[in-house]
Amino acid sequence: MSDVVVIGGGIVGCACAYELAKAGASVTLLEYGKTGMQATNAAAGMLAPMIEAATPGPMMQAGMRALREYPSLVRQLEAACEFDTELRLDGILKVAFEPEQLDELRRRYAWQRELGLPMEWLDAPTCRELEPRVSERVLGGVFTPGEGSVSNQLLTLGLERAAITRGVDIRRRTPVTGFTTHGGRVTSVRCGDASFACDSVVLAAGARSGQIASRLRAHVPVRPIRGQMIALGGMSTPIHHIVWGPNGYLVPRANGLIFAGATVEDVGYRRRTTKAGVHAMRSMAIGLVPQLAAAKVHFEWAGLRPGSPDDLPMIGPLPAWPNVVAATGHYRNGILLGPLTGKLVAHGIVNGDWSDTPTEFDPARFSA
Amino acid sequence: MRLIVNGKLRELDEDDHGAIPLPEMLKRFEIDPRLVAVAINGDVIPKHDFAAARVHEGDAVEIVRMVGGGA
Repeated sequence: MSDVVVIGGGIVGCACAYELAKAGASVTLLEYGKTGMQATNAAAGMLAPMIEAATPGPMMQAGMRALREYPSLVRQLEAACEFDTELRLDGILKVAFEPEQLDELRRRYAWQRELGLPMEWLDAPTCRELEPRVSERVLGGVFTPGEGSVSNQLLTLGLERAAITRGVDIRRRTPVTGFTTHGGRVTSVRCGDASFACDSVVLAAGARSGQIASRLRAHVPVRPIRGQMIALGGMSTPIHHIVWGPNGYLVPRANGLIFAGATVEDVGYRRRTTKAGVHAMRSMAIGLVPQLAAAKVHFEWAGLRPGSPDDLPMIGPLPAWPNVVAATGHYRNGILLGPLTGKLVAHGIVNGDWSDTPTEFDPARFSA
Repeated sequence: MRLIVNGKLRELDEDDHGAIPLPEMLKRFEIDPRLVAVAINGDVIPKHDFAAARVHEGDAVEIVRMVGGGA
């Protein structure tokens, strides 16, 4: 018998398990394959709530909070695991190449500055002073000094290790096949012949959350949105900050590779890279930094992001199942919001208090 | 005319020659050609060849959008 069964071993599930165990709960985590290997792995690890925000709103607010809390979380994990998760908050450059792109950047800069967010406007020469290899076609850009990236793989491994240290029982290759219910509550989670009794369930199964919820006839409208990525290398890295263009991004990683991404594709559960996808990302990379034409594609990979109808995550109890808590639908924001989600879920389950979770993330918004 | 677009069967009215120019196909799907990469039957079509490319009955077309959407 566990206090909580967490379904899903991506960054969100691992963060929930870690925070729940830290709060004193006994936790079992069920992962259908390997931990951290699906959407979590197909991310670039960017922590960019300002650069990513097209409009102000709950996503940016939650992202800013998550960004503020990242350094202390990373310190905790690194103390527990004794490895570096490659957190770098040394700024992101976003550039424009066309006048209409520059106008859009100016609009964003105006409202973000009005909100007091730390963002700098850079003219074209200053963009190239910061990153000399960026295409000379650059017209201007913005720089957010407090944003950056983390190694999504190492951070998730850190959460997993820290969770295990705190007693979490992690079962890999354990797909959920059903639930046992009694009196409107889930009493255990079934995986084939095995059964895991619990007081609460956290549904953190990413793109498959909807399929799993359907076994409870619950409506969790998550659908897979494929993201392909490539890693470019074979040269000394031509950029030192994350560089965003109009059609994608380049993230220099500690291992010397540059992650270039990403595609956004509604293709069901097909989780493979494609010729057109790799071509699109390579062209994007060369458009941003022409020198990358000489780089080699060292790796290409893809994952299925958990998309939601309004691009906001679902965090909180399901309306018809008070002891089943959704922690899914993070779409492109799982690495940024994963650790914060873990805290919100642990606080909600342990204290029965969801007032700290943005009401916009309440899964009940999708119930008729 | 039937096409397999990103793995899904789609039907479009063809022109007189049993084919559709690629830009016309993108227009009918309401896709901005500047924002996507396209492969037809596994061959990537470079951007400068979009105007000359045509899709035919039964072709497998892959249309890939990138994050950011042009802004």
